Amino acid sequence: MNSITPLKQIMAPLLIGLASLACGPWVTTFEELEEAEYYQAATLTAAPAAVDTLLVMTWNIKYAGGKIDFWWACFDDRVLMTEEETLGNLERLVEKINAAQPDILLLQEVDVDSKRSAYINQMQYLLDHTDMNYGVYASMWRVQFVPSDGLGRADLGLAILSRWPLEDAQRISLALRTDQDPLTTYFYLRRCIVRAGVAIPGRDPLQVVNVHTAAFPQDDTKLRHIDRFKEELDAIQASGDLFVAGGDLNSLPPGSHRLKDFPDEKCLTGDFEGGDYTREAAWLDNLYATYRPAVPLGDFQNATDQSPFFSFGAKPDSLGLSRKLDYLFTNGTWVSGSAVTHQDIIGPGFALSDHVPLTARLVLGGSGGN
Amino acid sequence: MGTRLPLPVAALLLAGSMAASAQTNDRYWSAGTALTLPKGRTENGLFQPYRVGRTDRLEWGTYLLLNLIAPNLQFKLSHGRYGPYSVASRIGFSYPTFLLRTLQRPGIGGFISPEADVGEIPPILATWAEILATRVMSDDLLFTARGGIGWALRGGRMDERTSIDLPLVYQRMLLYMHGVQLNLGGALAGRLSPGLSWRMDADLLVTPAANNSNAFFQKGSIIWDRGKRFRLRLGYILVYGEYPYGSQAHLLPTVGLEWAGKRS
Repeated sequence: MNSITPLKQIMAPLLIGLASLACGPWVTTFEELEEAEYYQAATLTAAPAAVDTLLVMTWNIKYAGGKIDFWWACFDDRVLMTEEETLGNLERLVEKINAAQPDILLLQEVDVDSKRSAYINQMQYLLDHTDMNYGVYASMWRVQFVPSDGLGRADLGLAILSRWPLEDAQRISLALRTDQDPLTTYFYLRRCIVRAGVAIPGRDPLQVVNVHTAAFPQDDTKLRHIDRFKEELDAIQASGDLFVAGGDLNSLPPGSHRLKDFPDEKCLTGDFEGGDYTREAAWLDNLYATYRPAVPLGDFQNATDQSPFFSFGAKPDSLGLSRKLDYLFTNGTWVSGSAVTHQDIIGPGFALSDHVPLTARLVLGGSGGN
Repeated sequence: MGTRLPLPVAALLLAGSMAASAQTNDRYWSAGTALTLPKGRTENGLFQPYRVGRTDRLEWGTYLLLNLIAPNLQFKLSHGRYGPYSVASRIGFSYPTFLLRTLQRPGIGGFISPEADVGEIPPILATWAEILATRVMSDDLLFTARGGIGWALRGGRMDERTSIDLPLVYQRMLLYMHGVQLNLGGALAGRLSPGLSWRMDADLLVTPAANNSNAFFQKGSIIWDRGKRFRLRLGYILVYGEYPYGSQAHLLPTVGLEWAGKRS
């Protein structure tokens, strides 16, 4: 640098920075199969030595966005949280997790050092403030600088947290969207599955699979993601291992009463339009037919009012929940009646996320499938 | 002088610069040194300001096109020789508000969040002052040391979330957010052959009021001189900086075109 000329502080570096986008790893791309990133709590909490059942929770935590209306939901213009907002929301997430006391936790939309969540490493925060000891993380959006809406640095991903050590953790890439222009695709999400084995003392390793499929594609990307997810489960089933799998499938259960025209759908056109499920009504049929859902399909389909099963709302603090998008499956056995859709995390004027957690208790034993 | 010159002394030197002794030089391409342009010579570049030798010891410069959205002006004044060193001071002003507001927009191209919670970029007047000392080590080798201070006056709150997390840009925007920034650095320039020269720079940038603000820059370039009127520069910048999420190093390519002229 020749000087601290204020103009050079902006324009020349900006141009150089932009030019270098072409020659630096500004957007991290991923191999088809990679090792996921391992985490550990700063202080370990003693895990139960012998267990017959496990409480499993899945939760899309919306990067600790709480009830904040972000621009992509079309209700407001928020982009970047303050540190105070992020930590406050994380504290409330932790309170809920600690109250539920899960043994295995599947998380979607976890931010690591992202600008929009005040550069906080949410993986480490959650491990350090809950009884979870070990974690694995797979990024689905790692960009040094997103030149849109002031987003800046972003690292968003999926996580598996456990009381017991995790092993053989894998990040499995899912197909990219094909309905976007190349520039948008380059900077857009690279969705994935994260899978790991849980080493429970005295037990065969339990396989855990977590997925977050595409939300807004106008092509068949979401179906390809669901199929890839089932393919992974089929491989575990074939190996004879027990698995628990779940996540945010962004698709409705078979037999949903409402498939479109949701009352909380604000983004009616553009990149975040995703409220019409008419053509995907049967996309989860195979999963339900092959494996055991935590919430039995009959319970959902036979309910006159399906709302107690809803797990997502675009603006839950005022418009409530509108659909079920979050699931748990196993090739083993659930403790009958143990599934809980924790709708208590939303209410008038408050919400810990736009998704609510789903928990169910898994019986440790043989695997079988439906 | 040079790197050992305390910053307050540099400021005093700057304030008294108008009374400094006269100095002439016959060197060309004096950007980044304590040497000033000869009277009437102009230099311009792709990423360089348009500079004019007003007298043999005073030059002024501006980024011409940038004035449309970021008015700017700078001066360099030679203070003559102190022992083996030629000493000069530089002072500059800019008003980057319109530029930053242009980058504060929704959608693609939005480098700064447009949300109401972050707020609009306030009026900012940025000023900087720097002292430079150049020693001609030999016919083919020039050494320059420099140190300076920048300060920014703001007409309102500037949210920290308006930062742009790009190397070089992030560190330098800290001046607008925190008001004061210090730099210290040096450069060596030499000649490989009649038409080929080189230059190496190293600088430290510190923003005292900010956390995660220190940055180190190292720049190298090879320069092809085509006579006294045109030069092509190719090189790199290594940026090692502290960011809110940790430290990172980036190696970035650079290219520059510079040309000179005469002005009566």
